[in-house]
Amino acid sequence: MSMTAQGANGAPGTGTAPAGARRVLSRTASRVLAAVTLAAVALRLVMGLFVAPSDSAGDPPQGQVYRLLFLHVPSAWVAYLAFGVTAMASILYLIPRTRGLQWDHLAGASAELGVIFTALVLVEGSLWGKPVWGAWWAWDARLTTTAVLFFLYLGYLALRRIGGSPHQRSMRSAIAALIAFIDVPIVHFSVTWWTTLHQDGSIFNQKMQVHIQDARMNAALIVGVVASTLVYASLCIARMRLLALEEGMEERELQAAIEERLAARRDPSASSPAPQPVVTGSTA
Amino acid sequence: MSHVIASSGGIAWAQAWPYVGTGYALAVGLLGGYGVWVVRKLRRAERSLPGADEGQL
Amino acid sequence: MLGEAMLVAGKDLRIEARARVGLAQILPFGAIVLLLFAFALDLNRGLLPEVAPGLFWIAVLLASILAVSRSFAVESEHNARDNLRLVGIDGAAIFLGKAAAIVVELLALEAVLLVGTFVFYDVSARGMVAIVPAAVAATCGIAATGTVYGILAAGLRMRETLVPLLVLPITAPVMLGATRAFEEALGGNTSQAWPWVQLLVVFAVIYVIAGVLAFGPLLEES
Repeated sequence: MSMTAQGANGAPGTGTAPAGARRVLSRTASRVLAAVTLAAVALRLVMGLFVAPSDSAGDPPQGQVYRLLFLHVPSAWVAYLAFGVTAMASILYLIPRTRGLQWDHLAGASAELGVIFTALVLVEGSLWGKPVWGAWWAWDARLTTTAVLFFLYLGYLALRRIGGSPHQRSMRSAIAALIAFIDVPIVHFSVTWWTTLHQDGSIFNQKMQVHIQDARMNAALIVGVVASTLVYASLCIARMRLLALEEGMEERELQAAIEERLAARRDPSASSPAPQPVVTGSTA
Repeated sequence: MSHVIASSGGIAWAQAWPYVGTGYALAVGLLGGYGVWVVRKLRRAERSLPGADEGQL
Repeated sequence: MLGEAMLVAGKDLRIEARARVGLAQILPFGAIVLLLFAFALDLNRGLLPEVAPGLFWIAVLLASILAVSRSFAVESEHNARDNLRLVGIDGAAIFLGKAAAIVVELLALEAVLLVGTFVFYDVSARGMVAIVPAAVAATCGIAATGTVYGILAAGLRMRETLVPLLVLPITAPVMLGATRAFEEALGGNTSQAWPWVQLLVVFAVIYVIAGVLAFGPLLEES
């Protein structure tokens, strides 16, 4: 399939810029962000795995296993952040004055990352829980709320895939995102209340935490939060751009197909997939 | 509940490494894999759009 | 707008009265779920009365998914949805009307299932003064969220599997609150059921408002 120099919408030379596909960051800014992100990740790995000392002051002490919290806590923060961003972007799309497809792309990209981070929170929580609690799972308030959040996200992503025009899909997704977002504080509150009902030291009120007794632990945690946020931001921006470009590509392909059909009708002797009978009656 | 903890210093690396290792490997793998996927598709998309990787688009 | 909502609710209930799908299919479904729980949990261990509230509400939640699907299947027959819009009924009224009809149907279902729970799970009927408000509030919350997602997914392919995935996580607080409220009430601590009832009421209010706000604009778009 050839894309001719005449852009489908009349813009000569380049292909039409699909709505919302303008770069959020310039090329150099993206590269800088990627470099900083990778550096932060490397730093957090070193600090979390090596520099921070083993936990010997906890009750009971957790030893080396607590290092999982350097991932678990930042991931939880990012999961909630991502959901919040999806909600904000959805609001911006719904308000007619600020409406723009880029908000829909942001909402979708952020939600995908939210699913990933939420899954990581749950798995890291389990991996922490087995050696420390003796069980793969406990109905800790945050963990349980995160589990609900995971399914809320999955539903949202499933809804996004289903068709209609970009605008219809964006409106529908935006409303769904807000409906789900309102639920998060309600879930958090009710689950927290639920777990406080059980005061018997059972699996219900185990807390997923470690006592921070060393400045290096603190530093590792902070670096972890920064690194995770940077990872989220850079992946989100990249994914946003991909969504915009893909949407543009679909539009373009559709336009190109229409153009071909129209061209074939005007001039049947030109190449065309299905030669049309000539209207004037002359035989080809 | 703390039956797994062997010594007063907490769980040592010998016991902890499968858990910590899996956790870190999964995080890096999942996020890294996602990143690679996005970048690869971006490159493919940019190639098929003339002028796509310039400042405006 | 309320008048229009009543019109829509009345229409849905009349359709149901004629087709009797709720009576013939959804109610038996709920009853079968309760039956299967008994098989799953082994009657003899005396466990059933303890877990009865939870089982009851799971059965209701699953049945409500069917009720929501049915509510919107009705619309896609004979292009009913477009006709509704042509008549000029406000989106919010459609939401309220359909949700109200679902509430009525679900409450009827719950009454029957509750009796079944008393009889077959060997639960003594106590604390009804808290049970009824809890059930009403919970049902309003379920109906509101179900209707919201029902309208969102209406006309989309794959909606039969999408709607449960959307509705069930959202209603987690309802499940939590309703079960706890029933537990307290049936266990004789009615006073401790009331905080949970409040939670259920708050949830229902929030989602009814959300539905009303969402459906003005949404129906224009689809």
